[in-house]
Amino acid sequence: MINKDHAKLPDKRPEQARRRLEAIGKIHNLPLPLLKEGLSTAIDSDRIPKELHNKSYHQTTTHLITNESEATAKPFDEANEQERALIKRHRYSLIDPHKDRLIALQQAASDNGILITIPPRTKLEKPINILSEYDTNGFTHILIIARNGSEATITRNIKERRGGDETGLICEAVEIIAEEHARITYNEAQDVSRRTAWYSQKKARAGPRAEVRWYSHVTGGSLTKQDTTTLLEGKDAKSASLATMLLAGEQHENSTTNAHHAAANTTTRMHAKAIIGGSARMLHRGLIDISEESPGAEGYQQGDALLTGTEAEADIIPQLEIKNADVACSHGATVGNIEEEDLFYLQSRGLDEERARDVIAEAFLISITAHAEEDEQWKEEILSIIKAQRGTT
Amino acid sequence: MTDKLIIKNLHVKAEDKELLKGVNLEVAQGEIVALMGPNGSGKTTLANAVMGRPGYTITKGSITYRGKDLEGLPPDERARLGLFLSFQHPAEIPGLRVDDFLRELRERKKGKKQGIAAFRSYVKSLMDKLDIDQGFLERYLNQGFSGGEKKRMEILQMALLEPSMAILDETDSGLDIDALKAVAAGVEALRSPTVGTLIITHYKRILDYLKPDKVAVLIDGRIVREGGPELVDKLEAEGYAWAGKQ
Repeated sequence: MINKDHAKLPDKRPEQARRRLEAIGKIHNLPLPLLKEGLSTAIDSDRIPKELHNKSYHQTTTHLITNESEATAKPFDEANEQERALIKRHRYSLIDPHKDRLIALQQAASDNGILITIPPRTKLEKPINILSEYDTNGFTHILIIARNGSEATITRNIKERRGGDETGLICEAVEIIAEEHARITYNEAQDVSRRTAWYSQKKARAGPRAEVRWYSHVTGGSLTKQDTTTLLEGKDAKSASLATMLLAGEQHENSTTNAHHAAANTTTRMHAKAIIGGSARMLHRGLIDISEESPGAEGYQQGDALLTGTEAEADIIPQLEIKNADVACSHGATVGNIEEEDLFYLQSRGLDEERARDVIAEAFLISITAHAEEDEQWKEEILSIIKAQRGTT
Repeated sequence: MTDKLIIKNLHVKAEDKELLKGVNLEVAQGEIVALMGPNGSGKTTLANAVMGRPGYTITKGSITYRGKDLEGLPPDERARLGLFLSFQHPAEIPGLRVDDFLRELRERKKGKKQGIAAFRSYVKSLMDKLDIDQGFLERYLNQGFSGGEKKRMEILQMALLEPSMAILDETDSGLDIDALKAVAAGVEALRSPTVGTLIITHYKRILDYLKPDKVAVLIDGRIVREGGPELVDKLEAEGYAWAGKQ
């Protein structure tokens, strides 16, 4: 139960307790997250549980961390003094916890999180894997600090053990600080209950020559609200945001991907591919914002949705805000159905219609890997996430 | 029951236009039949109608194969009956790896799972015969393939599926001489007393490699001439205008 009595319980971390109390005090004065409307696709905001103060938000989330490297990957409550200082300095340094009611709730209710720090000039051969499993509603914070010249991949699976008809709420915050010449790849596969609203704020800051690469695969949730933002603050910094969504039934997905260019020669690539079945709805927005301080910036974004459900809907809205003449930017979006031509071709080879549709849909998602071609390891990670979720090998 | 493909008085409409106007044609097992005709004569419509492409409606007549009326059968059931169509313009499917796709086709054909190593060894031997680079196995189906590469991929699929009746829709068009020879060799390799082949073409050149038993000429949705291989030379000398004359 999140109320003031609960918050007054003794807390070994006074600073965090103070922040949590502050957050609790503000929750009800803050607006709910803005679910932006599409051109024709409306996202049902009623799926966010409104009676936040009346619900039990006691968490029993487990995070299974597999880390075979010299990097640190541990729960906040196991941090040593030096690491606690890092957490204090960087937690919510990128995400504003007072932005809306859910992120405030996330701050208030999240009594733990995971700190990952990659030492300077350390390149991890193997990814750090995190399996986050929620039993009830949950509030998680992931803080990743990649020191100068470091390189790492973090792959996270988000699941939910709860079944039945109970509606739920999961709020997550992911912050990445990529220092000079660091490269961080953050892969995430979300497959929570289709009765749960999943809210995820992700934000990264890329220093000079740093690179931040995001991949997100969403299949679960009654409502998914996901905002991924990269701040390209250092010269020659790069970001790549790849996303796949596989929606069915009555799922609603509302995501935004943002890149803010604030330094010279910064580059952004954004690619999203979604399969929308049943009467599911998706609204995806991409924003590339290039400031006056970003000569030589490059930005490219593309979103594609394949509607496989007779009542499925999708809007993909790319946006460019360019305040500098010396840039190269482009964008594109497509929303369509499975091509009869492709279906006929596969059926003529003996695949029945259902299997042919399935093959085309899976291929459509897998084709996102074409945008990770430069890195075979990343490509394989993405492929294994898609295939694992679809139960294919 | 006959194993023949029998097309009887076939009338086919697409988008409210009558494209075939009473076609009669038979292809028996062990036989190569060439269907020739100018652009727009209805050759591809006939191939599509046999394979069951949506949008093509039989308004009169029938197509039977192995004694079974094909009307209303979905394309996959026709494929399972042993029919194969080599497409003039094969679909490109980004994200579908050639090796995954071919393995699934082969497993369906054989009705059992096949180990990756055994499959690779099998498919590589076929690719060598068709002079297809094995690097294609790791590419996405037909994406970025040249015209000739797509046609070779069609013949590779045909070899994997071992159909009893193959329809090659302008498989020779756009091929250079080496590709043409490779494709012809692939078709020849499949030739047997139990396999029928319908070669649809504009040109004589593929028929220099694959000698037809019968030749039919289709003009404006009707078969206007039928004969033996000598008809090919006659057409080459006189042109389709001659064939269309009564």
